Amino acid sequence: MELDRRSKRGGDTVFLGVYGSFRLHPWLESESTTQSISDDPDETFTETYRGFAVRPELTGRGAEDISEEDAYSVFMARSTSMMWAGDNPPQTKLWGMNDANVEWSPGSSGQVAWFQVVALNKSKRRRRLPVQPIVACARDTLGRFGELTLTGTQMLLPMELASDQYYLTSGLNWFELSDPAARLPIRITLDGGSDDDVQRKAADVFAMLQKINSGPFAFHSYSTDKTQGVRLDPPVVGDLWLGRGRHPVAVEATAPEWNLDATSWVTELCAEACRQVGIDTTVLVSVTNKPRRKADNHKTTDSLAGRTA
Amino acid sequence: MSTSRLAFLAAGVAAAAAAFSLAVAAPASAASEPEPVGGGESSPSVSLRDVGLFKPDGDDPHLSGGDVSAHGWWKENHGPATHADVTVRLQIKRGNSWAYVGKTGKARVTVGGGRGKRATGRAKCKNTNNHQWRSIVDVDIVGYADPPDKKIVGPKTLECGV
Repeated sequence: MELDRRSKRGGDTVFLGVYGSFRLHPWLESESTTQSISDDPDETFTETYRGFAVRPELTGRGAEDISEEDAYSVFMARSTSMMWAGDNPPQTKLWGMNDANVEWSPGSSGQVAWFQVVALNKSKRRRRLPVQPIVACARDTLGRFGELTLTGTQMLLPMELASDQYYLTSGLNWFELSDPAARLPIRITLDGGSDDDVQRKAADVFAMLQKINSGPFAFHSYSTDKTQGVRLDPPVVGDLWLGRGRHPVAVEATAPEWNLDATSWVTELCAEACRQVGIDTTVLVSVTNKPRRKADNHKTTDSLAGRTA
Repeated sequence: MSTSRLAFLAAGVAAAAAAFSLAVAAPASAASEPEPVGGGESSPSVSLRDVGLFKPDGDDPHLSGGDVSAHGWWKENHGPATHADVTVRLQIKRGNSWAYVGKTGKARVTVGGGRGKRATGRAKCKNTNNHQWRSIVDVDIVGYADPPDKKIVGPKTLECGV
């Protein structure tokens, strides 16, 4: 039976997709394996995970004695060690693990990895979404496997859980020591999927991005033209989570540097702008350093001056 | 054997006993159906002390494509055991009771949660109605007697009916 995918899912799930190219550490070897969960022909389930292990010839040990890890286990280990997740009473967990995988294969570029967690909110009160810890955990995880050349990130954020992010901007001095030569143009797309709330409030979101303290990040223009959106393939989520239909808002911006720290900051700033204008639904935030492919009709800061002044 | 080694073992047995009592108590209060009893290759002649401290663990049932999925594994091995049979079963709440649904995940795995060290239970969604889900992770240490530890993970409300 086909699920009804006209409307998107709500809930508390956060997805992170990391895009770019990747170089495996020379002391590691890696392979992807698909496992069958069920051999029932009427209900077949399979899971594919890319595993990583130290090359046996470098250890003096047999292959059977070498532990094989993957994105799931290393992300879980890191998040537990940092007390972001796992059993660390009395600390409150920021998230619960769902799934993860490194999709990279040698010579490929595109989606390097994805991570799925559930933002825990046992108190049922809104709170700051753990955007930056999740991205930091993914960064640390990928760093155990190899070197990432980043081209973009994509995060599905359950805005219905987001709270006043009063302390968000107090950390922006993190970028005060950035290399001035590292500043670069970036592109962002906010997409509510089948829900057009983000697109209807695009001008308000953009005005809020210019109004809130964004430190060294600068937001220059926006467009609701579907062709101007950031394309990161494959998207980290599809119709099942976003519903049928897309209502993207593309934003041109400048970042002080290009790395996962910067993309997590700009993602959280965009989420905060959405929250401030009353967007209370799931939003997919895509960030890339790739230039636009066509001339566009972006509304500039000047054209909005009358509306944002 | 040194004093510190003895203290370690005592602490390990105490902690394992605590885990045992928690794990046994939880299903009785929450599940209305008979729980599966761990089998495997356990030997009743080997004491808990010999097995060492271990713990079943798992993640919350979650949506994975058009399915509900949950992973299970074991960790914190301080004893001689090297492998365990990990079983993950999904339950959905129907009225006041929990019903087993989907495919049971079974795997004989080494300690930890790395690749090939997890079992996965999975069930296909037939609609997007909200239902409560939980998973039961059962760990049976291969070759040793061990408490019938089952960890209940959840419940989680998911947009999935079966």
